[in-house]
Amino acid sequence: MNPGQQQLFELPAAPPAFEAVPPVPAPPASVQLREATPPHASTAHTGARELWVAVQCDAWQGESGQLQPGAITGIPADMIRRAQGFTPRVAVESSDALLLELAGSQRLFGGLPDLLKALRVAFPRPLRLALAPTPLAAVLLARAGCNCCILGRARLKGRLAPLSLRHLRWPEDELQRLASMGVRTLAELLRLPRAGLARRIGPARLAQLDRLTGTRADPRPALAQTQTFTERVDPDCETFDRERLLTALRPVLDRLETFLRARQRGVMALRLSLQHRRAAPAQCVLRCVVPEYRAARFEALLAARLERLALSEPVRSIGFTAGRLRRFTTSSSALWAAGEQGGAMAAEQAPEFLQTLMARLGEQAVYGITEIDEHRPERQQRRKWPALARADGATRHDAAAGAARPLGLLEPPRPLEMQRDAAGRVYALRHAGHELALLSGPERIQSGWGDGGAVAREYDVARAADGARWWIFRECEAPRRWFLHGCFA
Amino acid sequence: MAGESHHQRLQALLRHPSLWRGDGAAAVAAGWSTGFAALDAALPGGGWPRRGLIEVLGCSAGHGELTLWAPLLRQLTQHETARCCALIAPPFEPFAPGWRAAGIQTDRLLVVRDSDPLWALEQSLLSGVCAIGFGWLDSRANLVALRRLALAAERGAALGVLIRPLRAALEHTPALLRLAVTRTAAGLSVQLLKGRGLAPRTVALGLA
Repeated sequence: MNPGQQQLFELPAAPPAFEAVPPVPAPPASVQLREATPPHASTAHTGARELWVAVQCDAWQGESGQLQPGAITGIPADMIRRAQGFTPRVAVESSDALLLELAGSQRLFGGLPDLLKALRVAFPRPLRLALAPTPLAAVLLARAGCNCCILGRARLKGRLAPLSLRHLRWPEDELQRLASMGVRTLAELLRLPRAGLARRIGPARLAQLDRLTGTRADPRPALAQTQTFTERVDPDCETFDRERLLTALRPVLDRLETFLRARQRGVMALRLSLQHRRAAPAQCVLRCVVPEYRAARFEALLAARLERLALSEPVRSIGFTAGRLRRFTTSSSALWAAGEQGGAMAAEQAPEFLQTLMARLGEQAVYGITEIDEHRPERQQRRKWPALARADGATRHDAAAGAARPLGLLEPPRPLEMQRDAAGRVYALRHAGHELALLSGPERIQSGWGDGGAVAREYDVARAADGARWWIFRECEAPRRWFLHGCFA
Repeated sequence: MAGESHHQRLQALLRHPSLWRGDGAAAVAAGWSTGFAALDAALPGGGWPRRGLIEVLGCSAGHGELTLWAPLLRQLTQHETARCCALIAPPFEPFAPGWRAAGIQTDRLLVVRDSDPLWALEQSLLSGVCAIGFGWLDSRANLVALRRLALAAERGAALGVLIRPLRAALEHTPALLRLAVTRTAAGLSVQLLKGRGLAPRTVALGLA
């Protein structure tokens, strides 16, 4: 056997194409640490030895008439995804072949033989594989059906020589013209004098031949990785059962994790559109507090969310969309559990804890409060996104001496029961059956004339007959009603 | 002579392994100071326990059920890295100026709205994110749910405070401590109802 031509592609255990395709070997993390090459950035020809593998299938070309939206060629997106598991330098050659540059991936996969074995598992027959130092040569060899592996440029011309010119996919009339000259194979074409050949086939074709044999650089733009994840899930039957829906979603979540891991990204939102037979689809949006990628975590959050989701009809299918990909920082989990051996507590578990709460109760149901400079009590604070770690430089308020303020506010203020005498004056106030006695006050709060929410009130602290303390006020203007506004809990 | 033998016999009976004595039998870990000297003296660990479930009974809101905790909250929320304080289903909106006036950092507060506070309270206690969680529970609670809460508080090293109406005093509880609080003219009156190593009594606390 020629030592330069290893028959590595002729492995016995190639599974048939119609079987379930085995998963792509998990690409080790160091590949993914690299930034993906931006779309159409030229992979510069550095002169270093390149190893191009062409994955070719005639059947792909046939489907090129019905392109998927967003797809560049007829090559299935799944194939491109699988190829990107091996190397970031994946390019598309015409519509029947995919090119992978593998020089940088050899060590990672444990040497070229192991890498080629992994390739064959990922791209089972009848897909054709060929390895050559130039991309065009790899494609031509694959089209010719040579499952071969050429490492050195020295042997390239020899291997290319017997190939028919048909594999170049030049226009039929040009091939006819060359055939009438007795030129049918690459060897015969390359043997012709260069100046005459340029006149006959044009400089563009000549440049193509130069790229084929490696005398001219052939930079290829790398395909950008897809940044969206959308799938459609059909449960086994129409169902209300949350557990079944979750079971149907589980493989999608696993695929999402693989997708996110390969990009070292996380998502902060999942959108589920639950389709019914008649009713409008129910929308279910799951938001995370920090970017998340783990399938198990998504599943736990979805379980909590689905449990509370009201469904009007059985679910027929689920549209699943992941939100924008975001960077995240992974942190190692603490050795000690919370509170154990003085283990660190708040910062690490806080996002997960908030996510769990929000997934079940909704985002509005979990909040923190922040104070605002304002005089009207009902506008003195607002709800805010719960931040469990204190921001640096956050204002620290110190206990202020002044008029008493309750710990709880009752919004909107509740009207108090007023007992009037014959002259119409209020002589007693009651709340929940208990008479109120004023303890301190009045304290006048008058503000808001500028923004239309004018209030003029006189606040008092009141003691109910059962001992409870309340914060009550009286309107300064007619009809001078009394209200309960706060609770000294 | 006869009296001494009586005393010896009594001591021998009291040492019998099948007899359990409530006073000081349970080893109680040192707790957090309540901020009230009288209450510290009355509580088994010299203060509030650091982990576990406590029930506070009050006939309605406004009886000082949170005011009682203000000194502890002030202490707990002081540090930069402090764990937060969860308020689950309070019957009012926490009023930031009031909390600030009590010296409590409001950025440590986490409010959760839910019709059934038990689940959220359990999560808060279990998570290790909260040092203390308050839950307002109006309805009857079954013993299993309460036991889960007590267990969650133990595991998450948190203090769970369940605020319940007075009629809950008739129900069984797995809580470490059960007390009733009412307001008096001078301050608060805390009735210690039940607890490990606790002698039931009433403590009057003065409020500034």
